[in-house]
Amino acid sequence: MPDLEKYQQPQFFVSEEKGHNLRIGDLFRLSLRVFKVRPMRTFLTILGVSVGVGTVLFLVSLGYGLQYILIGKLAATEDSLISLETYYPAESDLNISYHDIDNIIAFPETEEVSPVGEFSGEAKSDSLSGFLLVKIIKPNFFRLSGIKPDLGSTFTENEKGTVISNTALRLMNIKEDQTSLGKDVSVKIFYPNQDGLDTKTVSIESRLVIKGIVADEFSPPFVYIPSDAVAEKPPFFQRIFAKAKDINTVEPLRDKLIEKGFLISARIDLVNQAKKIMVVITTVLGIFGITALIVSAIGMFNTMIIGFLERIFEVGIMKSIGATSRDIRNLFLMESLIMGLLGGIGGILVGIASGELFNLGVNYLAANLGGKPVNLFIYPMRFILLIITMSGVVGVLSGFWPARRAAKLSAKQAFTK
Amino acid sequence: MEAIIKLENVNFYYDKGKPTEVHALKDVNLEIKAGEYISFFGPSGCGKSTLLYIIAGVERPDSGKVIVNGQDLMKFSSRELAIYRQIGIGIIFQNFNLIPSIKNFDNVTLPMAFLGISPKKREQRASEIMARLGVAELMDRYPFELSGGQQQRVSIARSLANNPPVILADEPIGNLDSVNANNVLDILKEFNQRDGKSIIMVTHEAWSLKDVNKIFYMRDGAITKIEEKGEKMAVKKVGAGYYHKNLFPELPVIEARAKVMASLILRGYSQEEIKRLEYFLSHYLRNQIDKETFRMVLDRPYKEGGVGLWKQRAKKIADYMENIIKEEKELEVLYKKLERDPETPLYEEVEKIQRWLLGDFTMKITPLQARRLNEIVMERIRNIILPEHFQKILNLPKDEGGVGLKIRTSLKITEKLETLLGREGGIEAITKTANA
Repeated sequence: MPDLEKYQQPQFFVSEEKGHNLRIGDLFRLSLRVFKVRPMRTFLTILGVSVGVGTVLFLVSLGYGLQYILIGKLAATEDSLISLETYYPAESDLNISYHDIDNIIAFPETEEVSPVGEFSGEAKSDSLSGFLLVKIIKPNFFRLSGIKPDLGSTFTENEKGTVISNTALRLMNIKEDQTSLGKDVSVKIFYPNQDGLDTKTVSIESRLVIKGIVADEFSPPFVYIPSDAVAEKPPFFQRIFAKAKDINTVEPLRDKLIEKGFLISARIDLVNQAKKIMVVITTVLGIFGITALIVSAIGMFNTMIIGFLERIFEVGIMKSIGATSRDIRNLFLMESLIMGLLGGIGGILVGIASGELFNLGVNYLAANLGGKPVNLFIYPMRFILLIITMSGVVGVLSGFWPARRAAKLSAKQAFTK
Repeated sequence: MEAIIKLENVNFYYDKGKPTEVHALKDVNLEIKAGEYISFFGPSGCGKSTLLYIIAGVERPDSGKVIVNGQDLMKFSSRELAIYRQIGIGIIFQNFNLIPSIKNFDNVTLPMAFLGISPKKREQRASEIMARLGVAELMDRYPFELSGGQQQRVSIARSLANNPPVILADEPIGNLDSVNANNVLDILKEFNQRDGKSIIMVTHEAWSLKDVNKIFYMRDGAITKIEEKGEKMAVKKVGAGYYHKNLFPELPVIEARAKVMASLILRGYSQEEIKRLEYFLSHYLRNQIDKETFRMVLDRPYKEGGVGLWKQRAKKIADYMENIIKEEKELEVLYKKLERDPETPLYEEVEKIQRWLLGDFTMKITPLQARRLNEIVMERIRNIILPEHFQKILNLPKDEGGVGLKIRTSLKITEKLETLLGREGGIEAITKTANA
């Protein structure tokens, strides 16, 4: 007979442990079984998700990259974004007078101005000379207009010099490259007389050193010279860059200038336009990427369903030895979450690797064709984080239905098979 | 003492409302007291396992009450049932049901993990219980690397992990050879007597009832008789035949005799094969067929209406039966003799034959190959497949369900097995060498 003295009355449903559910660590450890049981299938599923996520990253970061290049070109300086290029309509035959400039400066919205006088002129190198457009500017012109030399630098108040277009160099038979920086040119300007029929020639007192070169194949040859270098002030100006005090005063300033009869061309409009276009392009690229991601998510869903069907028996055993429905559901969800996250991380590697490879190819071509190296891809950190989160969500979603079905299984399944 | 488990008018149907409806349990009433070691004993399909799984909270009866420790299981939510399975009971299965993808140690700690016990405590408890069951050194192995007996001990360790007061055992020795079966019965007895665990064992093998306090005889979904083993009975040491007589009181002596002998002789064979042997045996015992015919039907393949034993074994059993009839021994004596010296169960034989077959070869085989080889040796012995099939499966690649041996090796092994099956006393010789 059993020794009943040793037997203690059973303490059902009373346990010192409170949980009655698997701990996170155990869930994680148990979920990793798939890598051991079905390594190939798990790997392929993760690879599928990686390719999907990678495609999204590749396309969207291409979109970001293009946007950055385009807008970067447009918005070269911060000041140029709140500066308004102001000029009279061509048909009005009006030019900007000193009086106009004083008026514009007087606006409370105006922070600073940079007038531009454009006149015909002649530039001369060692022997050759050519006719071109001379743009008389103040050094702050570069900052307000956002124009930058493609080679070299701009001139400043203290360091006089000139910035010249490559086509102007060509006129003077000077090489259009780095070696030409530091060479000097002499410039003559032809100011029109008041009647507009005759011109008055003004020579620049000293020769100007070439500080920067602007690549521009489409405009006629031109040269920027500092207004300080010109002995006689220009009689009038064609355009003036007026910088607003801040972003909020841009529109009031624009209104006032329009009221005065000026036409306005603002960089910020271009930038906004470009941004809109880039958003469309990035969205279209993103949709292609998302399609790839959906395909891989379906693949993962399929894997999870097969995994579920294979494990009906195992789920039965687990339930019969005390697993709650929640444990089973969490096991499946954890598994798909892990696979999704790994897919996300793999996808980031795939996306960045293919992006860099593509970029390398493009730059190799560009170098051969004489273009400038560019970076077509940009991977913003927040987008990478978003992608990892998203792949986790895709994982959980694709595991949701199998997990629910598994959780609903009865422990009986272990014995009816 | 209060009943720890109490069933009142429990009815259970499979496929209720369908043409295939089966009334699996009919108005079952029973009480099990704390610390008892009881058994549901009956033939296959009598509902004994269903009854066990109702107590385990796995099946829900269609009507009636299942009271465990004063609480009605029927009123439990599925979460409460899960908690009940975590700490109220431990289950042992016929086919062990260890989770194959995790190590034995993790299998044992799993119920504790479900309960939410800290890893440190788990490790300590699992080491203790595994050491007690003599499987401590198998901790870091996977279930498929163990023999059946070892797997069952690991699964007993698992069932005891959360120290439940009740252990439910569903045919715990059904897949074990006699040595391991006895070992498992000893373990159950020890946990009943030393640790005071209540044990409910489902079995159809009468000899496994030796340590049980109380037997619920079951037939066709009903409890036909409840017998408490008193001190007297324990002293008397009744044999398996006694239980069978209790289970089938209405059967003529010869039928009962055929039944019990068939199940003892063909331990490890399927129920259909045992039934067929039982049928021919009763005819032979009644002298309706002669020994030669009896031997022939034993030898004939199962598909052709025979029992499907191979030649040598058929002859041995026929000789054995002839002796029994000649000596006209008392039924009890016969049972006892069979119990003491049972036919070597098939599992043991197959294991030994496999070892002998591979003896000449230096190659290593994987656990999967070993299992497949075991399966086809068993099928060849039971005459389910022909020698050419046997050879073909040996040669077939692993991923096509074969053993994946080279053609020469598979030819040699087939030849070796056939000489063994054709030779008089061949298997006994091997068995003896293996035992020595």
